[in-house]
Amino acid sequence: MRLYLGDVRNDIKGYQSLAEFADTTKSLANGTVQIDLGSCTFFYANMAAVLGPIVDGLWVTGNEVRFINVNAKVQRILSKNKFLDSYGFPPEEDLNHTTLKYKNFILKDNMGFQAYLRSYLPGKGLPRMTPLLYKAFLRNLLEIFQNCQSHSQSQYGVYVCGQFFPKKNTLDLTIADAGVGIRTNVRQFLGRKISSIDAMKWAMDASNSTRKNGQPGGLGLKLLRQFIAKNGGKIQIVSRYGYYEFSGGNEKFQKMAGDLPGTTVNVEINTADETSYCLTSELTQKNVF
Amino acid sequence: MTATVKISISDIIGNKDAVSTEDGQKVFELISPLLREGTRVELSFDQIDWIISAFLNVAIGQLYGEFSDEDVSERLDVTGLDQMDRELLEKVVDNAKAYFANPDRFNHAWKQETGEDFDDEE
Repeated sequence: MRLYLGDVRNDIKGYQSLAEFADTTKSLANGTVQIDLGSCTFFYANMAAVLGPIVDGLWVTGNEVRFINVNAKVQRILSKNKFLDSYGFPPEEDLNHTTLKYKNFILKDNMGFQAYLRSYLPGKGLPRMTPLLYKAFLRNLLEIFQNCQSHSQSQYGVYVCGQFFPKKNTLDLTIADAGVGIRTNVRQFLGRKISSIDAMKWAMDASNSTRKNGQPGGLGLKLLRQFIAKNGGKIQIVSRYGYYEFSGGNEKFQKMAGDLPGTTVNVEINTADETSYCLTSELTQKNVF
Repeated sequence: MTATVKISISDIIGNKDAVSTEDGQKVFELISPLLREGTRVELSFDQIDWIISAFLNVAIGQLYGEFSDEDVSERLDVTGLDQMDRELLEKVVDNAKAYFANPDRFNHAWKQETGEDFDDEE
C-alpha cells in the first residue's frame, strides 16, 4: 500500500493533511506501507511530533513502514531532527543548533522529559533568551506534559519535537500524545456527547478540569495563554476534529476536516522577548495564603 | 506557642523538580495531618528548580478542601520561592479557593449553556 503526504506547515492545513493521512492508515494491518513524500516540498520540523504517532500506529498494527521519494530538503529537515533515523536515511548533523530533536517518551517518563529539556539549554539548541522567559517557557512545557499524563490515556506515550527559526526569532515546540483526545475526557466527565470544539472550550475554561478526585485543577491552559499573550507568541491545540489557535490576543476555534487522534499542543514563542514574567515586589510582602 | 515543623519539598519528592501530581500528593499527605493537629508547617522550596501548577494544585490547593482559608493562612508558610513561583502559587491558591467554594458551580453552568448533542462529527 502506498500512502501520500503533501506539504505540512504549522497551520490548520498542515494539521488537516496529517488528520486525513491518519484516516487512511486506520484500517491497515500486517502489510507494507510506503509513505510517498514525492509531493511534499516543505515539512515543518516540529510537525514530526504529530506524524510520529500516526506512523507508530502503523507499526503497532503489524505493518512495515518505509518512506519513499523524499525530497532532499525535506529529508534534511527530518534527518536533522532524527525523525528519519530509524528509516535508513543517513543522519544529518544539526550544525546551527536549531533543532530540538524528535523524541518519544513513555507517559510516565517525567524525568526523561525534564532531561530532554535540560539538554536544550539556551545556546545548546534553544536560542538566547532571558532567564525569566526560559523559565516561563519550560514551566509551560512541563504543564503540558503533565496534562498528557493526567488525561491522555495514551498507549504510545508523548511525542515531542521542536524547531527554532532564527530569522523570525520564533521557536516552535510541539507535544502530541496520540491519546483519547479532549473530547472523550470531557464527554466522560459531563456524561453527554459534545463536539470536539465544545469540549476544548470547556477544558480551556479555568474553572473546569476533568480531574475527579476532589483536587482543583484546570490552570495549565489558562497559564499558557497568559504566558503567550505576554510573549507575543502563538498556541495551537488540535484534538480530534477541533482546532484552536491563540495569537495576538485573539483566539479562534475551527472544525477540522479530518480526525486527528489524541491531542497536540504547539507552542510558538517569540525568543527575542524581554518581558519580565513576574509582578512587582508587593507579591513578596503579602501572605500568599 | 506551637512549634513549627520545617518540611523540605526536595527531601519528600527526592527530586529538584516539583512537576508531577504524584509528587504533589506525597506532600499533601505529609502536611495535611500536621495541619489537622494544629501544627504550624514551613514548607521549604529550597533546592527546587522547576514548579508547575499541577504539582501545587495537589500539594497545596487540595488543602482548601479540608481546611478553612484562615487555618491554612495561620498554620502554613512557604519559603524558598522566587517571585515568579510565588506568583504561580498565588494563582493556584485563588483557583483552589474558588473551586472549593463551589466545586460543581462552573461545570453545571457550562452544561446548561451547551444544549446541542453530537453522536459523531464526521
